[in-house]
Amino acid sequence: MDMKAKDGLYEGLVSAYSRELYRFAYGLCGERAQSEDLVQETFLRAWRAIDQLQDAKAARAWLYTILRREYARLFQRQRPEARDPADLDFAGCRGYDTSTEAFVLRCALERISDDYREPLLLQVIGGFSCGDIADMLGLTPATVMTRVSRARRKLRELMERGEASRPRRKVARDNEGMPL
Amino acid sequence: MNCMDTRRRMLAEPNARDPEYRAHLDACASCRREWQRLQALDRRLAEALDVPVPEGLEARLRVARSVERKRERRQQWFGGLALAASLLVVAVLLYRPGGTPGGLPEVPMAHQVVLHILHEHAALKARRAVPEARVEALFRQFHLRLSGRLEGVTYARRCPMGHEDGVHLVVQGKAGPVTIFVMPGERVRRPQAVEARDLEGLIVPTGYGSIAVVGVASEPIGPILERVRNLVRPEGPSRTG
Repeated sequence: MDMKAKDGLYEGLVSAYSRELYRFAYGLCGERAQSEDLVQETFLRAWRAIDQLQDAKAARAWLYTILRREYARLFQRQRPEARDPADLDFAGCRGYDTSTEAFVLRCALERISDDYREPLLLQVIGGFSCGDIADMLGLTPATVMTRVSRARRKLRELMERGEASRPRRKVARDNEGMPL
Repeated sequence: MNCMDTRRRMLAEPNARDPEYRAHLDACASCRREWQRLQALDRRLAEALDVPVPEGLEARLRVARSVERKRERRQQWFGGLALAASLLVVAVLLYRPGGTPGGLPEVPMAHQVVLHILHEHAALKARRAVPEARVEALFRQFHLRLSGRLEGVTYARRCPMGHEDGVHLVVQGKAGPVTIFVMPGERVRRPQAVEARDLEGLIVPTGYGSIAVVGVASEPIGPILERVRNLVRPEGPSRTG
C-alpha cells in the first residue's frame, strides 16, 4: 500500500470510528483521560499495522480488538491495588451526562466485571452480533451469549435494587466482584 | 420457540433475526413487553455512555500519525544505512585479491546465503513463471542438468556465490517464496542450518558442490530440498573443484 493510500485509509478510519471507539473505551475504563489515551494508542497501532488490513470492511472489528487489547494491557499495568485509592472510588461514575439515571447506569456498569462488560459493550455500543463478538474475544458464541445475558441481568438487578450508585472499588478482571 | 427460549435469546441478543424468535415476539404480548423493557435498558445504557468526545481528538490522532511517520522514515533511513554497512563489511571480507584468501576470515556459508537473499530481496517478489527452457539453459552453464521439471520457478539467475558462480532460483512454496542456491563451487562437509530473523533453511553437500534451500520459518523446506537434490544431476563427469 503506498503512502497516499495509507493516509486515505487512516483518515477514513479516524473520521468514521474515533468517536464510537472513545465511547467504548469510556464504557470499559470510565475515565476520560484514560479513554483518550486508549483511543490514541489504538490508532497509533492501527497506523503501524495498516498494511495488514486486507479488507476495509473488517476495519471496525479490528479497531475494537486493538482497543480491547490495549485496555487489557493498561489494566494489567494498573492493578486496582496499585492505584491511588482517591482515584478508585467512583472512578467510573464521573461523567458528563449529569442525569441521575445516566449516573446510576454508569455506576452499575462499573460493578460488572470486564469479562461480562466487554461483550455487552461490544453489542450495545459496537452493534456486533454474538458471533462477531465470539470471533473478537476468541470465545465460543455460546459463551458470549451466556456472558451478555448475565451482564444484562445483573445490570437490571442493580438498577432495580438501587445498589448501582453505592461507592465501590473497581472490580478486578478475575470477577471477584460479580456473583452471577 | 416457547416463552422461556425467547426470553433467554432476548437477554443474549435482543435484536436477533431468527425467524422463530421474531415470530414468537410478534405473537406473544408478554414477551414483547419484556423485549421492549430490554430495548429501553440498552438504549439508556448507550445514552449514558454517549459522552462528548474531547475537543480536538481527531486532530490529535492525525498529529500522532504524522509524528509516527517521521519516526518510521528515520528508522528506514538508518535501517538502510545499517544494511549497506553490513554488505560493505561482507564485501570486504569476501574480497580476495588474486584469488588468495589473504588471511581474511571465511564468512560462514549460512551467513553468505542469508546476506545474498537480503541483498537480492527483489527476487522474492517475482511472481511470473520463468520458462523451463531458461532454467535448463542456466543449469547447463554449470554442466548440470535437470532430470525432470522443477515447478513454480519465478526467478532464475546466475549469481556469484562465494568462490564461484552458482544458480539462484526462487520457487513458490506453501508459505511463501523459497530461495534455492545450487552452488557447484561451494563444498560443505555436513548439512548446515540457516537461521536469520524469520528465515530458515538448510545447506546440504552434493556430489558437485552444495545446495541451499531457504524459506520463511513456517515453510516445509524438506520436500523442496529433496526434489532439487534429486532433479539436479551433473552432465557427464561431475565437477570435483
